[in-house]
Amino acid sequence: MATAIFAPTTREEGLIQELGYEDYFHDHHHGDKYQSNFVSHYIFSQDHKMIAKQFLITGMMWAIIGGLMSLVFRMQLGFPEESLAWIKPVLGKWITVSADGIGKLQADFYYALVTMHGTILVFFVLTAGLSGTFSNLLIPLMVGARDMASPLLNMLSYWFFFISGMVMFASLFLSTGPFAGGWVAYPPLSALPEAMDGSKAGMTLWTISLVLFVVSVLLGGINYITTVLNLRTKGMTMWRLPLPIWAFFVTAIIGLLSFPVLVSAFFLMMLDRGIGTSFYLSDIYIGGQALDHVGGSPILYQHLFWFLGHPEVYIIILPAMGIVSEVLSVNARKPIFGYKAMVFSILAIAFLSFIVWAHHMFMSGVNPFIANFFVIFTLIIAVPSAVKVFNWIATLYGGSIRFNPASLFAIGFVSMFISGGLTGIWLGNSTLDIQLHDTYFVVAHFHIVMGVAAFFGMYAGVYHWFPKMYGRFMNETLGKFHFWGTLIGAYCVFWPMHYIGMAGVPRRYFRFDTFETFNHFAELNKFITIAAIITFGFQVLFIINFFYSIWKGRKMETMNPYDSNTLEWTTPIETGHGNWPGKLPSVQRWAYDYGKDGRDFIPQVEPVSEEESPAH
Amino acid sequence: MSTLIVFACIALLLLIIVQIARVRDLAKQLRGAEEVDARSTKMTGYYLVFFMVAFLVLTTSSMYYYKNYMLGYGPHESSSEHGSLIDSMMNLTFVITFMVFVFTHILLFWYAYKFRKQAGKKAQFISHNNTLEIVWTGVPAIVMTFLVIGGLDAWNEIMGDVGADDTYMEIEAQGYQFAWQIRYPGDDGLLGRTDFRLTEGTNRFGQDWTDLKNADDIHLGEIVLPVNKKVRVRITAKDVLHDFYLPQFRVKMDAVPGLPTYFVFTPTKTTKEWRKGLSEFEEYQIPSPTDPEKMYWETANYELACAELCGIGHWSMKKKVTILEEDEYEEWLADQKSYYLSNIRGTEGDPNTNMLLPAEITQRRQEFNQEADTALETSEDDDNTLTLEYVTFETGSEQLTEFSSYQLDDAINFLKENADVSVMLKGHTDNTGDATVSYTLSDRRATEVRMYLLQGGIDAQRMSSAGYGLANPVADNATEDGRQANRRTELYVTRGALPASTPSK
Repeated sequence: MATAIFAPTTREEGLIQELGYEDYFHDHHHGDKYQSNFVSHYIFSQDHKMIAKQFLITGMMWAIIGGLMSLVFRMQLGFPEESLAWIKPVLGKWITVSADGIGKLQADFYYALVTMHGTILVFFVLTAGLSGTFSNLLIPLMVGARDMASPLLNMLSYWFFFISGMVMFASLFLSTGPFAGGWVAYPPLSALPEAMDGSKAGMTLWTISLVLFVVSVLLGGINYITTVLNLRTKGMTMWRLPLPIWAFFVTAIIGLLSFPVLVSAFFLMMLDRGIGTSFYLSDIYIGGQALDHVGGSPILYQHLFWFLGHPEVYIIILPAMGIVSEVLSVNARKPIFGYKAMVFSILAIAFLSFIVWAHHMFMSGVNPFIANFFVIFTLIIAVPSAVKVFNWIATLYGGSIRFNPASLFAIGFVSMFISGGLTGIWLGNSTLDIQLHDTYFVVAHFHIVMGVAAFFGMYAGVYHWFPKMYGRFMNETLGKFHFWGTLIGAYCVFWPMHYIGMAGVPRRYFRFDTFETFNHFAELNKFITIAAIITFGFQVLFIINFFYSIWKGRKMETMNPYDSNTLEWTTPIETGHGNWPGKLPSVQRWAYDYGKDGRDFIPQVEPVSEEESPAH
Repeated sequence: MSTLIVFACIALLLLIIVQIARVRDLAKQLRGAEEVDARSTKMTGYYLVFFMVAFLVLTTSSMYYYKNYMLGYGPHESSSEHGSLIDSMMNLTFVITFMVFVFTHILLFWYAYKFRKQAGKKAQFISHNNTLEIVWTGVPAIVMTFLVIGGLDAWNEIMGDVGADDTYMEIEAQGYQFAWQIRYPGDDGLLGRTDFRLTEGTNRFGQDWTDLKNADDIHLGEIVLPVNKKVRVRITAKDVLHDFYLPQFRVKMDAVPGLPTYFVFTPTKTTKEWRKGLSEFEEYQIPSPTDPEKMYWETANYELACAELCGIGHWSMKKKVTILEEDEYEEWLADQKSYYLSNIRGTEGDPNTNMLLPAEITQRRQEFNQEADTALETSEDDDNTLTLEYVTFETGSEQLTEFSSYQLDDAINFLKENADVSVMLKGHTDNTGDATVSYTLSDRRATEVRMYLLQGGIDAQRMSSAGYGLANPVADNATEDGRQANRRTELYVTRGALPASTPSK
């Protein structure tokens, strides 16, 4: 029998064998079924760790594509007179080269790039790439489960994401171009093929792709929720869950409640586009004729969209918050400050995220009266957010902080979250939104608070758990270069946008020189573009480091390299299917006994001894 | 080629960085991990503090540098009444958030530095502190309460629509791919009804011409408004979403097809005053982009923009906005013509041919009085006769048409106001009929008109009438237009005695 053969090599493994829970997992030959050949191991894998890597690498590919897109449109904004003829080989007809050899970006394609950049980054990178990767990797490992509740659904979740991505990728090659009406896809622009080329086949593929994506999110989400609720190992009560698990769990619930609403919004949109219904359309005269649609309202779509759209930003940021909480605590060698407050603030943010959606719509023509509710709830979110920030800072206080790329990115995350979160107080206030709505101030705000901050959380997670994924470490020096370049670079890109926004410059402008009012920032726009290119260059360092380290990185020699309490570090370096070679660990305490009673760390599997001081 | 060099340089740079990283890892193994770690921890701690200082200094100084573009400051002060509410709310929020920003960043980076891993130092076991946590839940909650109350107070004041007894003017701004068109209500102060199905090349707003409120509406390619007068903008969209955005006035509102939206604001600075304000700032004392002879501030204009993505021309939806003193505005407005009267009236698309519009009645009255005054002033030797252009008869009879009474009433009023004036009514025909018949008809028609005036209360002594038949054509009888001009009733006016009322046959 497998369990009998297994001989513990570390104290933790010993404790697991002694106190753990025998589920007779290794008596059955599950393992062979999951990883017996190349296809079932690397491609149609049902192992959560492999699926996590698939999500991560697919997410990285999308991040590169989405990032490069942003560089192309930043070139247009920073250097509108510069010839782009040299990228014609890649972009083809979207660059028109004049007789004297000056290549210009087409306005249609500019808008397609902006739209694709938003869609890709929000959904494919920061939802699938972040939550998909770490929920898959960490939930079973941290709650002490052999795998997800349904490995098959988990595999399907990835492949739906993959197909969704393929559909979106295919739309880039349409002769009428991909969808170009902004990632929010407001009708009538998105509903009427007459309104712009991107709203023709591009919009159809965009919708199909995102519906597939929602399927992926829901399959994943059901799995995460079920696993956290049902597959926690013996002794792992909800109040002993490490914070990332709380974050992933709540994220999955938010996703499950909000993504279906997006699908219903798309469904009505498809009916409007396909069979002439009028859910979103009324009183339209376009392309020289009056359309038959009467009685619909474009604002209905906005309500449905933002009912997902706002929770979506928490779907993006909560996993990053969870990761950062864990990484900060482990590297400060201190318990996370105010564990319960952290959990309750996650729950509060999640709850509030469902009743603030209309703050995206203050200036959309809804009755101004409803702003009274949405302003109140929106600004209340500042309270749990402030609690989280102060708790992170308090976690550092009195610590013995190890500076590695993971902990640096976690500190950077807190800085970004503060900078971007504070401007949320401006934008959540409907009065200020009159001037700031749809200006560069908004661009600065959400890029810092959910774009860059979420990336920082993701980087912290990748650097921290890379050894768990590949059995090797990423290069620390490169990681630190990457950190400083990204921190400084990201602020250089997005901080100046506050000024541009306060001066009133609207976002989604192809060029600014038509207006006297908006044409004061040519130099600043150049600066931003250069900063964006350099910052992207630093991400190349990460990619090099990542792939180099998979094969050539420093090998992991101990099971628990960070002296961490959580269960994932009690698994073998080469973690096989089923995660623990013998019994399942049984959990004796919470995840944050760092520095207790003078001991550097006390793993979760270690029983509370008699002489130990009372629990936290 | 240069692209290739750039790429090569980037590749080289990356290679160097990777090599440095590898060397450092090797060195770490050679020199002992602990020592290297301690040194690098110390350095990273310094870097973090250095970053914090540099970051705070740069953000603060760049705020100072860009102060002229932000908040309600300098040239970026709002030009509308409600704008100052927004600006002061923004300033308050700025002060609060900036303090929090500085405070938390100092704590974050200072703690990171101070509590870095050091030999002999252990982490403290602090898991929570209820007092502290209540403080940092409570303080933000209180601050937020103030911001919410302040914000909503301002919001409800700004977004509250016009009151029942407010005086205001209403204009319409309609967005379409990719421009704005502006409609003013004309003399009646009311915008006429529209229906998107009526939209066509000559009717760009889809105005329903049977609604007479449309008759005096003015179409414009720019916005001109009087200073200090409340304006209610009706914001509409023809095709997709747009957003009516006046940056200098702090006005922003989506334009939604099928759902008119409104924004009420009061401009407080004329374009002239605003330009004068700009002239005090260096960045506006540069040559103007539109007129190299002038300074930037001399040609600067308020602008209307679109702030909701509406398609590939979203960035180009510009309209000039001008704010004038009240009297300048009235002068400007007087020059603007009703779109209906100048483009639709009398054409095939005009559904109102069977009626006379109030504006037309007024206009004709003014013309009549002016012509009558001119005729009076003309010396007797010259022709002091005016044509009653709008007095017409049923074919072949002396029966007055329905609309003739307007001008005849004008004549009655004129004669009542000028009691010393006597008139002679002269009937004329074209040459289509027999000369005798024409003569009789013209005489009967002149008499009929005289009778109308008589019934209107004009003393019979002051009037005579005569028919001239086809004898005095004023235009070529060969054309229809000419014949129409020849069929006419004339009014001879004089302060002296009337001539004998027996014209030659």
